[in-house]
Amino acid sequence: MNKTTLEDFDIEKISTDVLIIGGGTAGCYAAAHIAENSQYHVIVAEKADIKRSGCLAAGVNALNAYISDGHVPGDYVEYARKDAEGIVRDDLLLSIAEKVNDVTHDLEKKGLVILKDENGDYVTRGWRNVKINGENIKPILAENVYRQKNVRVINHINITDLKLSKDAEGRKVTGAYGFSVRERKFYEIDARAVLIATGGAAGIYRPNNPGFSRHKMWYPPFNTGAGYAMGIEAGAEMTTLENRFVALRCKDTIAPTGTIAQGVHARQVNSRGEIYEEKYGLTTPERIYGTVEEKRAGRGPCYLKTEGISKEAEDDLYKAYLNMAPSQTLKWLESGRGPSEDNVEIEGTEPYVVGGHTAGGFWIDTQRRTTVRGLYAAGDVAGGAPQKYVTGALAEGEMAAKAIVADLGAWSTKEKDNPASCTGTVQDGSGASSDNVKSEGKAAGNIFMRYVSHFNETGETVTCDQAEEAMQKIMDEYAGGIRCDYRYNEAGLETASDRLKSVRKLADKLKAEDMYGLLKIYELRDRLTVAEALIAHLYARKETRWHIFGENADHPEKDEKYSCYVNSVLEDGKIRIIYRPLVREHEYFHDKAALQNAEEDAT
Amino acid sequence: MSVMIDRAKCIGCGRCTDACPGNLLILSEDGKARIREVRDCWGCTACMKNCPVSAISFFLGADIGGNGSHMSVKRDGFLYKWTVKLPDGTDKIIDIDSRSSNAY
Ligand SMILES: Cc1cc2nc3c(=O)[nH]c(=O)nc-3n(C[C@H](O)[C@H](O)[C@H](O)COP(=O)(O)OP(=O)(O)OC[C@H]3O[C@@H](n4cnc5c(N)ncnc54)[C@H](O)[C@@H]3O)c2cc1C
Ligand code: SF4
Ligand code: SF4
Repeated sequence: MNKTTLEDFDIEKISTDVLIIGGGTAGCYAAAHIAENSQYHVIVAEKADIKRSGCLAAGVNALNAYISDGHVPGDYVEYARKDAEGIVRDDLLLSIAEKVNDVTHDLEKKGLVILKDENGDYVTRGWRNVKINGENIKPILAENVYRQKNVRVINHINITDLKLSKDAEGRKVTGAYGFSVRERKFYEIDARAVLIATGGAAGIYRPNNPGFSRHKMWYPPFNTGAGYAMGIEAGAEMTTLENRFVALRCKDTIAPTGTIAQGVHARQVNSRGEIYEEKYGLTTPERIYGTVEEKRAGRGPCYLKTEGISKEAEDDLYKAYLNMAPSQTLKWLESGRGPSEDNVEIEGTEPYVVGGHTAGGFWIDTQRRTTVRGLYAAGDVAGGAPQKYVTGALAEGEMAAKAIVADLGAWSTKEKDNPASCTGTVQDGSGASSDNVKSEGKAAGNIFMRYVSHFNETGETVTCDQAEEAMQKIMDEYAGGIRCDYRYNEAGLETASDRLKSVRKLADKLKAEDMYGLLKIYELRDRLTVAEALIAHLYARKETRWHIFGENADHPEKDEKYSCYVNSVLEDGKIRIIYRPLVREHEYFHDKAALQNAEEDAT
Repeated sequence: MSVMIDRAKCIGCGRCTDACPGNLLILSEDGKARIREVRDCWGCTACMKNCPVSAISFFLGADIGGNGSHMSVKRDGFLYKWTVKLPDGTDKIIDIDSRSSNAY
């Protein structure tokens, strides 16, 4: 068999002002904002197609972050802080809360259907929720990007690594590398500023339905934590990864339960018909904790009590689910028994790392700058601000865009730079031998050769699927997955950490048949990097502050000593933990120490 | 859950291959769409909504309660017409007007 070499691939080199990695909720909104408010050229690099990629692919059922009449942004901060037992960034939450209503109005202007009462006011569900038809929310955001003339969208390209350079002021991010998931083509993109908006990480733990329906999970199985992984490897500081997110879902279909619970006021009952939710509390983790505990006590299965709701309510539920989680409607219809006849069984999902629901992700300043110069983060990939949801992700996209425009302006006056234009050159691989690329920059050669190496592996026994299952099983059994009711202890975490190292070795030797195969291998690599960092964080918080999200069996109580953030940076291949005091101010700047950590060369 | 593609209906336009957030759909040699791996579908139905001829339908795997039914959607202006085909041959149809919001 002929050996695959770099000559078998095209290499496209592009340079631009701003690169946005991930054209999802936050990424699309940021791209449009930069284009509307500056002359800068923007590239959006998206692994799928921005029209239906990421969390919003199926649609959403409500806008979960909105400040209704009679409430102020501070109420939101208060609520989210309390819900997270204090481990939040007040500055980030406040900046989001001050913006969610504006972005909601903007979405409506762009075509989102929002339910209104006879006075023309939004109909809210609770004080933080607006009712919508969110089926087409992603196409709306995407169309707004395509309207901008300074934005180039590159769909179907998977970004894997950040490009780092050094100048007089130290290390900074100056672009990224990736590959097309369709053609034999690699990309090197130079940019003066890079926004990471790749969403959170699913698929780290063994999922609820590990067989045929293994991807029937809550969080998109295609958001694999690439942004966290790239950031970690670039030496960026991460925060609060140990604050995992677990969702309470309809059993099997993993469809949302909030719509039933709030829509028809269904209560959580055990198999004896006893309402148990009051016993454990009503926050998300408490609702799941209650469900787990009732089962452990032999009183499962657990349900949402819907029996007896009207046929009209049942029809409304069918429709609501078709707009966001169609499998639930299908399940009701095909079983021939709807929610008016049968209670809806519920379960907790596998844990995810997702900074838009809980607080794990990049450690950023109030403007959404990460600890590495030139790199910004927004949406689920950014840490410190739980419960940001769609509107919060949009708000963060806009804030990051503002910071980028301001910083580029300031740097330009400093450097007397001409703004780069958004032109690209395509070289065919035969011109760019590996030596040639090396001379362009060592990193590009190394990264491209790493891609190529997977085409030359034999992959005789171990496939990517197997390696992924191995990782998920390890995380499930030793790092607090579904199988152990989300509990973990130090001995188990050590075992997990150890075994993941073997999976990492397997991942290096996996064979790619084509570009899609390479994508799968890199998705696994992302997840492994996130899993390793997650374990270090779980280990470092020696308490149980949140049921389910962080159920530490060695330290089952809350400990005031840990009223701080657990942060981490990767240095010389080792994860270093940093405990940081809580930020209650309304503005936060990275301190010298944080930036210095990031300046140190990780390579 | 996963999707299946009616090869007789598929006109090979490729729209579903663009829409899938997981890059799961591709055109086969004969120009018809197929899914790379049935187990990798997330169930978002983006492909179905983008198919001009309603060639794609989705179904639940038996592991999550599937019993042989499948569901497809047809776009008609502002309306999404969802049709569930039950194993006994009967259909259930639900119309959704994309201009009206969820009741819940
Ligand atoms: C099923 C579901 C239902 C939800 N329902 C609601 C709701 O009803 N109300 C609400 O307010 N919130 C809801 N949320 C939360 C909300 O949708 C998310 O918090 C928000 O959309 C996250 O935005 P994001 O930009 O961070 O991520 P996303 O919108 O997911 O964007 C991430 C993008 O990055 C791309 N990407 C990932 N890796 C790479 C890579 N390596 N290279 C290039 N591109 C990459 C992805 O394809 C994706 O397009 C829901 C979330 C889910 C998953
Ligand atoms: S339902 Fe969604 S994930 Fe499944 S094939 Fe269609 S677009 Fe892809
Ligand atoms: S969108 Fe429909 S018609 Fe077009 S390729 Fe896909 S299945 Fe075939």
